[in-house]
Amino acid sequence: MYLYRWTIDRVEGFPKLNDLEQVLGVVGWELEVRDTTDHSIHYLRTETKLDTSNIDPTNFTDYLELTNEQILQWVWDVVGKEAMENRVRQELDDIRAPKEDQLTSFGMPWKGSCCPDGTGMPSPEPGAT
Amino acid sequence: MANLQATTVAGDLSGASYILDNSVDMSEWYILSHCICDGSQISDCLGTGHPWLHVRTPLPTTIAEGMGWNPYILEVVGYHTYSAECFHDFRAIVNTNGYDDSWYGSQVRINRSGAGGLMTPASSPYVYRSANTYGGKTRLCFAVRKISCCCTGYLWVRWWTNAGKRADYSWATFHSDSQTQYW
Repeated sequence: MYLYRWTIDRVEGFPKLNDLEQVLGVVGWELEVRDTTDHSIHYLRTETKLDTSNIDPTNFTDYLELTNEQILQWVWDVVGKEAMENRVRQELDDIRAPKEDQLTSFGMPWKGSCCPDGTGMPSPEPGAT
Repeated sequence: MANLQATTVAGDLSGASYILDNSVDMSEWYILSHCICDGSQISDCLGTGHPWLHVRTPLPTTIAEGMGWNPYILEVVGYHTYSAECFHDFRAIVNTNGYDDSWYGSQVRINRSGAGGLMTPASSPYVYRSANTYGGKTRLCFAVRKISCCCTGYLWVRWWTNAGKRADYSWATFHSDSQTQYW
């Protein structure tokens, strides 16, 4: 089973926009996914710009009365809740099963070839307690 | 209209979820918000009876992955609960024996054990190599203490390395009643 958690990291807004005050413009958010079978986790962290071009003053919520749920709903209206949850889940799955034809980082081959001959190692060698 | 055909980046790249090999540099901080809760069940956040948070990092820990006699430094900073009763701030140097790949478990050097000062209860970090393999490799893991509170908490984790690190598996966190090896 996958668990998801949405968290608002930060908000930015306009102190004044047209005749309105403290208008939210950008929401930074984090989406965490957890696979409960192996406890693997992954995060999607980004920001969403809200449409402030045509705000109805009669339907405007004062900044101090905004709730976490309301702001998240605005984000979901833009990015799609299910779409983002599918994306973060897919990213987690891709990390656990990386494609073989995908560019990835390798370690230094001479450091993984095992082993130094011990020349210059202290005696007793490290770890020999 | 011009289209971007290709781009070249000199230096290191970091993704939001993992780090790429950068050989000798420090990695980006990786942020773990470990308070995801599943209802009233015991979780990484609710610590009652399970006061240890175990973190499995994607860092492989064998000679074949470049760790033999090539120490990495693991650095962890973090807290748990609104007033940060649990505070974590330590570096550990981790290594394997280049002869036989044995883990220097008893000799992981940690600069701060978390005892004393205002750190009550102590962070008491414990760094280990996973007993199981994940994506075919053992991984670097650590445990730190947490509080029985479903509230806020973050860990920031990064590495200083001289061997080359790979990020070919996911991070994971889980609670445990024991400080010692979980993964």
